Amino acid sequence: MAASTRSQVISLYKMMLKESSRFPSYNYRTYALRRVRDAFRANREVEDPKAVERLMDEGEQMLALIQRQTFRRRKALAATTHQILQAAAEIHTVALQVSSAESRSRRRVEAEQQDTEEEI
Amino acid sequence: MLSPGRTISSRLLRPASWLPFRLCPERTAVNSMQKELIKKHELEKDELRPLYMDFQATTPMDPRVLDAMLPYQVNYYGNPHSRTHAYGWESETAMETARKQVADLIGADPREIIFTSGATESNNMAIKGVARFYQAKKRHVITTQTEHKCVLDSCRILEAEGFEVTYLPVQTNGLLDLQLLESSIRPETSLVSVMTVNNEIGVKQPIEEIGHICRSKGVFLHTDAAQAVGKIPISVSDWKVDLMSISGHKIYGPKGVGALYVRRRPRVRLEPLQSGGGQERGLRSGTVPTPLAVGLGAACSISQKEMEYDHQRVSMLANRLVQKIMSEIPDVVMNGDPEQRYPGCINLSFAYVEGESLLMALKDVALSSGSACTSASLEPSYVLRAIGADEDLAHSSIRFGIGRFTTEQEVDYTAEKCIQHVRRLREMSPLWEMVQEGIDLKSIKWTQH
Repeated sequence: MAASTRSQVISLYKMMLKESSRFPSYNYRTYALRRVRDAFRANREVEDPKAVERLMDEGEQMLALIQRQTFRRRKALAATTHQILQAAAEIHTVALQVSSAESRSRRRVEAEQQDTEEEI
Repeated sequence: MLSPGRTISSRLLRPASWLPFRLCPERTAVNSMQKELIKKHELEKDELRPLYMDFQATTPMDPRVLDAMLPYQVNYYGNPHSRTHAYGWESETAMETARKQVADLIGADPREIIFTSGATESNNMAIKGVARFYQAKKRHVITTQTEHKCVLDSCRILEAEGFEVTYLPVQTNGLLDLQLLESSIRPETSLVSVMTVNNEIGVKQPIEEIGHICRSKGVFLHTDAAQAVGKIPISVSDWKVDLMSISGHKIYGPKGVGALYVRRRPRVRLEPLQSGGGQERGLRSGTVPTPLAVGLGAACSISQKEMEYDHQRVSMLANRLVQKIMSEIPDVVMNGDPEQRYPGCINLSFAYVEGESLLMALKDVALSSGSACTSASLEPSYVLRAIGADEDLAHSSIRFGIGRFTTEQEVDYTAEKCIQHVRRLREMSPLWEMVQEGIDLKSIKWTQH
């Protein structure tokens, strides 16, 4: 039981540090990293399991908060724009192919007609 | 280069036979380079900004405060005074929770907190409201010379209405003389207004003693605690304070919200400044902005939890900055009492250097000389004049603000640049040359050309 709590605490700590390092702003990023490190360090000696559980819950809430605040919308929008442009390019290429295939088939049909006319 | 008129949607609406210029194969290489340049330019605008060392002017919002506010901006947008539907009820609950959080920070009852649009409005309400309510019998108000502009201006308006206002001088260390205060209180005094922590020099007034004096004489005490709330422990019951102004954007909360603490026992009566539907106990009508109030409440509760950690850290950084600067360059004066102060506000005067030129030299650090509300004029700050600083020292003062988000690297960088530029400016200064030669500047007779 103690071992799993310890590993849970360590994994929460690592996740919080990872998410904190994703703040775009220098001041927020350094504050989050420093505060998470100092908070975990200050609570290192806590033994009472209820207190540990309460602190872990607070930690989980903070982790969710940091994840919400570091959501990089700009990247998502840029990705969407890129996808739209790619799709437009694909559509155009397909249209080109279709039109060139059409023109080829039309020419083939005309050629056949000419052949048949010639035959006739 | 992306042509300015074209948006993504207009490009998609073009007929399929038109080939987009950007996607021509021979143009792709050039365009990706240009895209990189544009991206780099945008990133530079966001990332390479000056260091922020002006925490007394305003503070960035804590991410936890923003997180608390967002649901009330987007989803729970009801008017807290609507009594008939769930939107109103949930908004009201949030507003009352915020009120409790603000009250807990200063040791008050939630019913004594009134949300306003900021500390300026709170100061106006307190001073004009109390003075006007008791004007039948009491027509004297006492304040100090180092108060914020809004307090001094409100007192000026009261003088125009026929009140008598005493502007008490402060000692050279910025603190108020308690004997002088006691002797200035008359039977017809209704209000004494003294700010807790000064925003320009960081001096912390002895509000507890002042509160005892005022309570014994039966006079109301108002304190502008905008710079003190959330940074030093405050108890309105221990300090015997009757009115207190709180500002949201000085404690890592949103701009545009503040609060006024109005004591209920013994009751302080105010004449309201803003009339309307009777919200906020009739003292401040108008819809309470729920997201801003929630932000203020969150900021207060975060400050309460983090007060000790922040205080230790800010003291450490402030000591680091002052030690570094004062050990490297001579003739630097710290304005304000060295002990009775909030450590995060440091006002240094660099002799023989002009403050504005030093500020412009430190162009990648955001600093200020004097408070933000007086920075438009070229006069030296009235606070420095009130503490008796020499005219030339008053002109060369810089205020360093340290807060929750300041890092050691920022402090070190600021100190180094400050030392470097002060040395450079002093090299150019003829006054410095004369001082080096041993001439006493006070003995010089300057003549007109």
